[in-house]
Amino acid sequence: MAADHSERTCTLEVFRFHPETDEHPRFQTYQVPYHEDWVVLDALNHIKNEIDGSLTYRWSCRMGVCGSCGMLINGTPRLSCAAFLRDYYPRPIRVEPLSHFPVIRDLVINFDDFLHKLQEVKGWLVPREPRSLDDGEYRQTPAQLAQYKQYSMCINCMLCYAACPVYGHNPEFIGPAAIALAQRYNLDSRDGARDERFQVIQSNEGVWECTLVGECSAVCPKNVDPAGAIQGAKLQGAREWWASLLLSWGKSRT
Amino acid sequence: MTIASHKTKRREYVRAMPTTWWLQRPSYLRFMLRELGSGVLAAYALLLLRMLQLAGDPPAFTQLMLALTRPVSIVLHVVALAFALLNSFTTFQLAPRALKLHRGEEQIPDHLVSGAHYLAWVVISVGLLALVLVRR
Repeated sequence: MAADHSERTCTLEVFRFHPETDEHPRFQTYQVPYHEDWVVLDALNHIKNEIDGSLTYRWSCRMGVCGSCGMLINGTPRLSCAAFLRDYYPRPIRVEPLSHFPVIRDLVINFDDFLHKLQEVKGWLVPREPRSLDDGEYRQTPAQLAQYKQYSMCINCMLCYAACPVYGHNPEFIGPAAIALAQRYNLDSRDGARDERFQVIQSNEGVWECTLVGECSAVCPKNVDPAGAIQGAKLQGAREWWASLLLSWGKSRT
Repeated sequence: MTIASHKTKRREYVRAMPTTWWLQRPSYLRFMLRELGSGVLAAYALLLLRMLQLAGDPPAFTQLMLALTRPVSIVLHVVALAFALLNSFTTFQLAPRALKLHRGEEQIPDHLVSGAHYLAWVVISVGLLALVLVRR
């Protein structure tokens, strides 16, 4: 059945960097069989299994859930498990590690910085009112869920960081996914740590660093819309700033 | 064998961002033009303020108006108009990113949010035009 495709091959130009032997990265070209239903990750697995076992990259679920196989594919941050060869064939496909992160080896990046940022924004639920197990669950209406649900779909794939030129220029920027995660909990009716998160996300390295390029939302494989989360946080911050200004003005008059 | 010999020579490669990064993707270029456009619009606002300043001085105002009929001035006006349009379109296109409205469980769709902005733009522009024409 697949015989009619077995003759055709697809060219992959893969970013290679070996920390012990390479001073600088280089590109290595591989020919892989072309199949209509193959994604770039299938091609990389073929290379690793059949051609060159030294090729190093991260992957796990191969179905767009785990967020580990993000790469630059022809310059665009994508999940390699969701990038079909047929969308590029017969042109060669250039595969690189996600931009703006240090490269450990080949397509593997160091994302320690991202993990620190997730911690910095307190990306977890801090209950507004602590309850014991006997008090039962925290209840929420569907409308309350809708306020933050979109931001809760993030799989930490870091494509948004690779697409963000602001993060590329200033690694101190907290960045799209971490701010979206902060908003996910800020907008949760059960959460009570909004003020603590505001300290971080309203800082100079927080939302106000964002110049709304909008590419984070464009490349997001889960439609999380981090750009929307950041602009929403800007609106909230600006509203509270004006409110505090009016409040202090009112106080000074009385 | 010492423990040190087990250590890998970890050395990370950091890729510098090229100065031409904004040419790498069409969306980056659009962003840069949008940002550049705000500079052009600010410059044009200064010209309008100058006109306002000279409103009480008819000879000086006429002189400024004559200067604005020069070909180079017309070209600059066309450039300013192009950037004003680009800035308006890209801003309205991004409006749904900043304005997330919910009606119950449903989020108001993006096209309605930008559509409302376009509508307000047309209504205000027509209103201003009518005001100018009536006052003539």
